[in-house]
Amino acid sequence: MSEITLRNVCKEFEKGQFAVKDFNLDIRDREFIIFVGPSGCGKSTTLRMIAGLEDISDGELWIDGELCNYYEPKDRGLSMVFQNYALYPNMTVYGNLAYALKIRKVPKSEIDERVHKVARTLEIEHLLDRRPAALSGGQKQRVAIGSAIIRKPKAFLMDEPLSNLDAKLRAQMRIELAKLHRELETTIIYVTHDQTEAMTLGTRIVVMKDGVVQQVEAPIELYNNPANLFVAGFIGSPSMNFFEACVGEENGRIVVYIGEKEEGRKIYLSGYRAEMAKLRALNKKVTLGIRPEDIYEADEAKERGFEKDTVGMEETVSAREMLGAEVFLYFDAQGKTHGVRLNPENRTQTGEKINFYFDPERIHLFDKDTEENLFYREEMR
Amino acid sequence: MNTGKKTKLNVSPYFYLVPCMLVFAVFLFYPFFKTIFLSLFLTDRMGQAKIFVGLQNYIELLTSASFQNSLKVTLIFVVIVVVGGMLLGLIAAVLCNRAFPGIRVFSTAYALPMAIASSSAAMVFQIMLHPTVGIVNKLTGLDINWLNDPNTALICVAILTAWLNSGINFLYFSAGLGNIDETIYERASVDGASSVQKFFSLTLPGLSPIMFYTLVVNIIQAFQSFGQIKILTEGGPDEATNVIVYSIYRDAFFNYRFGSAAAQSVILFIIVMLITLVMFRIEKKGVSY
Amino acid sequence: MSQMDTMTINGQKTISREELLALKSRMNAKALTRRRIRTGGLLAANIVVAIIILLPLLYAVSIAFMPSSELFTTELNILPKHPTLQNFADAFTNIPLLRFILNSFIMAGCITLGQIITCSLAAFAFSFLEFKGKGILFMVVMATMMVPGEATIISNYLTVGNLGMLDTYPVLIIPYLTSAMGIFLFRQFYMTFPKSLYESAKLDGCGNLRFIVKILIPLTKSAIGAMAVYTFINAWNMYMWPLLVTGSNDMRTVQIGISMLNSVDSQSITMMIAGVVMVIIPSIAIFIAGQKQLIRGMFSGAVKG
Repeated sequence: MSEITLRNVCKEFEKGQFAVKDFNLDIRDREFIIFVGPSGCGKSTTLRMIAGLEDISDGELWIDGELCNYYEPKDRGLSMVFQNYALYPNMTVYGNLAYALKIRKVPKSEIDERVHKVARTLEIEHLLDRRPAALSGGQKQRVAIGSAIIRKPKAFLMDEPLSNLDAKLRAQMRIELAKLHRELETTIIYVTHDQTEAMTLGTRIVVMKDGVVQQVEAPIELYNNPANLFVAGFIGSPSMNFFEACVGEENGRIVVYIGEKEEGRKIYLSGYRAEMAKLRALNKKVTLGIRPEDIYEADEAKERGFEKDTVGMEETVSAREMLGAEVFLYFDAQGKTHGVRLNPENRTQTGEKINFYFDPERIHLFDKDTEENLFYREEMR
Repeated sequence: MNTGKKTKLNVSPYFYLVPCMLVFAVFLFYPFFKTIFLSLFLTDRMGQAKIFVGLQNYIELLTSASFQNSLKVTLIFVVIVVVGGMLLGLIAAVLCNRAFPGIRVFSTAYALPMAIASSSAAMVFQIMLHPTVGIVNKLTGLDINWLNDPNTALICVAILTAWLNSGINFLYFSAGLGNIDETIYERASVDGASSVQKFFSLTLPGLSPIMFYTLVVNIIQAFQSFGQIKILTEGGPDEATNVIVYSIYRDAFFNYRFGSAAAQSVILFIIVMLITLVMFRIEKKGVSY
Repeated sequence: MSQMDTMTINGQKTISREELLALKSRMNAKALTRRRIRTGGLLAANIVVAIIILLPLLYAVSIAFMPSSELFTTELNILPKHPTLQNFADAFTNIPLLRFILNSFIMAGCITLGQIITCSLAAFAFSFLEFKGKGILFMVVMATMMVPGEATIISNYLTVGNLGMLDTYPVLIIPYLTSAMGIFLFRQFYMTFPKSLYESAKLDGCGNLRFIVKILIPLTKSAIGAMAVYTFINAWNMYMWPLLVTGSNDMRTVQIGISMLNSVDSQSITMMIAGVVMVIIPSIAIFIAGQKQLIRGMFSGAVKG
């Protein structure tokens, strides 16, 4: 049972300079919470404040109903996995696993039993006599996780634990971590800059930028309903395409014009989207965002029934990537390169022209000044 | 590769070694073997080998009470110097490990003794230990003639030497502490270790490689201490500080017994060599990672 | 959420906003005191240890400014009551201190320069060139570190005596023109450079000497700096060899010359210490100036391995 609550938690480095500002979050028992954001966004600092490795400048940290701001790290009942694994180089794998128990004066026989049990779970039993220097990156990773889970802590804190592994191992460990979370039935707070890890592992994701929480949401909600331009651009790979656009009214219908009105590249909105656009951005400039998989060619647009609501953009393909199950086409517009994901039957080659249709139900509009998503619905969960 | 090219390649590299090898040859290898050679002879006042006596010099030395005393004194001296110097350096390094206001001033202070000459330091200590005007007696209220009392003279000289060596030991240990990964301390705090537990289970083992290196260097250096003894006690009182190096100096340059002095040099070399070899043997087993 | 007046945790405990604020400020104060005590304790411990370590030097400086009469009291006289420069002036007139200092500078300077040259040449050969017996030669050089100076000093003295070199600059300098440690240090540094650095210079038609001067030396400034500081201080502080081979005031180095003041004639103690202080100043100055270099150079390659 563990509930961690952060109330207006701040980290102030110098007067007026915040690494983390007003961080609010309720973490429920057994959640897999991900802190994600670009480097320097304050995600690691927040994690270290929860662990007690950094002082909390302001705000409150509650763990299971106790105010923990000033507890020493060892009194918080948490365990942590570090980015560089932080294995004790002078101890064997066995010693590393046993250390936390040993200093808590757990009886020898129990330590032995628990070490072997954890080693079995993580398949590192044959390594128990080795020193960290003789281990591969993946093995070190397992030992680090092993020494965290052996204590049965209230929650695990993980600071970019997979970032030092190569891509293949990372994918494998990701699956194992998800499995481990199910088996352990404990809260995990996990910091990463990799949005794939965030999307695949998290029950909820906290997106941060410049020390400020941008959005807290389950992965799929975050993907479909980003709160602002930053979240929209950060989550998803390849990332969302953005265009300069403006909102207008034609024959009683709300229209988004890509670029200037005169260019004639129109998308008609309807329902909630039309209302929100009319309410908040009529005759204003906006940023239009659309994910690569929400752009279609003419046939498919017709099939899906939105070809009447959107005027095709004729563009020259500047690059083509065939990935087998899908094909990516790239085109240049408004001084940027944009990507489109189509199904692999599409044969358009580099240099050829093609008409692209944007799915009007899948576009996002962002306010020019606040960068907020005009279609964001807070109570969607 | 053809042979002609090979020989051509093979000559020039040696040119770069000529300067250093020449110095080594004339002032290290040659005198080293000459010392061994001299140790087997009786010599005249000019240091010329005159009469071959075989191991006679060694036998006389090892049976003489004076040399046995020198060995004992040297051993005690080395132990005090090494333990004292390393402890002082370690304490300073640990104190200076975490950032706090003024850390740069303190670390300079701790390293400073390495810049002081043994002779200068000896002269300052001489006044500090002076029975009537010295600050040591004045501060402690004692009335001890530190350098003329056989019970205290050796300890005083050894402490001075430990002080001189503590500067570089501080630098070694600081570097060693800097090499310990900071995050293992963070992990240990989360794991629940106290500062004392962290010191013994992480800091000391983490320092062990550099500790070993420092120990070897300190032992070798301690055996070679000379200037401070020459100035402070001249081997006295009553041979209480007559370490081997001083005994060598006295035999060679006062008594002109170069053969015996050479034999002592060889014995000193063998002792240092044996200690170093034993230490390396121990290191292979003892020092972790 | 922050405007909430009460908050409930676990559905059991309810804390009002005021209580919470009071609790926080109380714990804040406690944490602050704890941190202050920790920093203060560390600082205090450092001050104590630093004073112990610096005591001989501080005491020496204090005595150096003390009139001779003031020293001879039974009371505790840590600071001079009537500071004077007379001791320094006396030291200069009593012995040719300037000459000694000059000698030491010449000796230490030449040794430092010589060691840097011979060591970098040798280290270059050991790390970039391939030749027969390289491994054995390197072992031999390393083995010289094991030979204590005392094992050779008698024979060396006899050698230079027979050559009639006693009491000259060369005899002070030449035996110390190379050092195994320097070769080792430089080689450790050179080993961190990729071999391709040398090979591409060769392809560009760069000769070995040119490579050393134009590429290696600029790249190893920090190692050279460390080596220079360390060698200079050690040479400046050398005692036994200069003691044996110098006999006249014209050739004596400071360390030998200064002990001429050491007569424990009660009137000259303050003068002697004044002399010592002046002799220590150059080595301390060089140490402080080069401390950063020394630490960076000595420990980046040499000790780790």
